[in-house]
Amino acid sequence: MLEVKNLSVGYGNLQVIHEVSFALGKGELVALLGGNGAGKTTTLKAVMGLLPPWGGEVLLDGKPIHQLKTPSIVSLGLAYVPEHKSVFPKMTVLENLELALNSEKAKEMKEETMREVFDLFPRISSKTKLRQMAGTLSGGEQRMLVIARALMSLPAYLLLDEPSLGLAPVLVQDLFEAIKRIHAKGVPIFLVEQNVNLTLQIVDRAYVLEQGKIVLEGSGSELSEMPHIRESYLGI
Amino acid sequence: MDYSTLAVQLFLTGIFLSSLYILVTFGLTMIFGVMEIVNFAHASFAILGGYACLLAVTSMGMDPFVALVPVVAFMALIGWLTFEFFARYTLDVGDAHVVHYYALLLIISNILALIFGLDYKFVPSGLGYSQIEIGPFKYPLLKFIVAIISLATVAGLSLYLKKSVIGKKIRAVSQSKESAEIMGIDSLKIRRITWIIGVSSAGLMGALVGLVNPFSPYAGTTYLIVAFSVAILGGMGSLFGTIVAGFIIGMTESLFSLFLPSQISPVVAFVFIIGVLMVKPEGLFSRA
Ligand SMILES: Nc1ncnc2c1ncn2[C@@H]1O[C@H](COP(=O)(O)OP(=O)(O)OP(=O)(O)O)[C@@H](O)[C@H]1O
Ligand SMILES: [Mg+2]
Repeated sequence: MLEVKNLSVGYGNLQVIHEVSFALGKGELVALLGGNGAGKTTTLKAVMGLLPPWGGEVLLDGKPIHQLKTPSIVSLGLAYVPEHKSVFPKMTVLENLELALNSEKAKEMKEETMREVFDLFPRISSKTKLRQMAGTLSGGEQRMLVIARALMSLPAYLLLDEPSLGLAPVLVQDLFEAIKRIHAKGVPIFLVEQNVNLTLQIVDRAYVLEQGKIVLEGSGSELSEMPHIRESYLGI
Repeated sequence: MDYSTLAVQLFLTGIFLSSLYILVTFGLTMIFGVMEIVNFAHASFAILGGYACLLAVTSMGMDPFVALVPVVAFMALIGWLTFEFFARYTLDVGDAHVVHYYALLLIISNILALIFGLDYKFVPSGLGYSQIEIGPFKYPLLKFIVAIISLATVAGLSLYLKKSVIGKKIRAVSQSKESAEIMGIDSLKIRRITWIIGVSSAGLMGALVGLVNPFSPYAGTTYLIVAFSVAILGGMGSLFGTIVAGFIIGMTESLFSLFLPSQISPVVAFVFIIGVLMVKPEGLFSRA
């Protein structure tokens, strides 16, 4: 279980996240929703050790991890897909995937994981694509590569920051399908999204972040019935 | 001397110069790419390598080419020490690091001057004026061996970066430190390794040059000018660019040595830089 308790984070002397708490249990698919600038990315970065928390704690199976550096947090099984493209542009697609093999287990399972990942993202799985420089993939293909790369590490938890950003509608459908399938395999997923409609259809639970504070929490179906969500996020 | 002999001479001299230029620039651009540091002290590490080799040969009686092995090991130790006690505190401080590295250059040069004095020294190679015969052509054996060693080192390092696990991690950090950390790569460890490789390769280059040309504690600036010229021409941080640019500058310098006295042949590099900066300010093979 990944637990965030009373997390506060900011930049310089500007506080952005105010005592935010949430949890991601084994096998769960949980979303963090919120408008632009609500603090979703900031929250994820603090969990991953990319920003130092000002207060509160992050617990992984009860053990505090908020004082660890990013590589140590990653080695504990947290995989993070950032909001902006983070492929290594001057390495091939295959080299990008192989860089994620950061545990003995992941190395042993490489072939098998790769088959599963290619099954999820057929667009980047051809022999020619694997040899292509990652920087020359299309924006959508790069997003898929980053998710595929995160899966290669056999993560215990998967954190996705707006994976659908900038994808064509048909690709967004494919992507949500892929997220559902990863979830069905038992990987707990924490999904940051602005595509509220689709997200609420696939998640177990969701939190709503506004101006750095959690203002709502509930199951996907509960939230999609709430007037505030319907007005502000679904536009109905 | 007929024309073909002259052409081969110039070609071999070009290769000789290029090999050393590439070797010294390799470490400089690698450190720039991975650590975002412009290492002004790079050349002083080369000079230090020259003195280390001199001591190994004259005080310990080692064969100069065998001595290169302990010299590189010594430089790796120096690399480790300078990383732990200096370089690691200059990471992510922005442009201010330039001052720190200029200070490091002065510190190393002055320490060397205190220990060894200001006289020019060179490492006795024991090969004298022996020539190697390649078909009908002759070339100084010493320069030939030096070129082979530095080219082999560059080839080995390139292969290491391309194929090894650490090499791939080094490339990953140079492309994006944050993305690398997200992959579980310890960027501090990778930067330490990069720094040690850079310092050791500079030391090796200095020892090799010391076998051919005399050097003094402050002679590093000459190497620095060459290394920066190659790096700028190649586009700071591109290893492929470094290799091509090294050959361009080395070969041209060799060619111009026909018409120019040797003291001003480095001018060739400058002219090249000015030309390149006018046409393509980001370097011929920039990473952009
Ligand atoms: N490096 C930074 N320095 C200063 N302020 C920042 C920095 N990064 C983000 N902020 C501010 O923190 C707030 C939250 O930003 P954050 O990126 O977490 O939002 P978000 O919820 O991810 O938004 P979006 O949906 O647009 O990605 C914003 O007001 C933003 O301007
Ligand atoms: Mg964001």
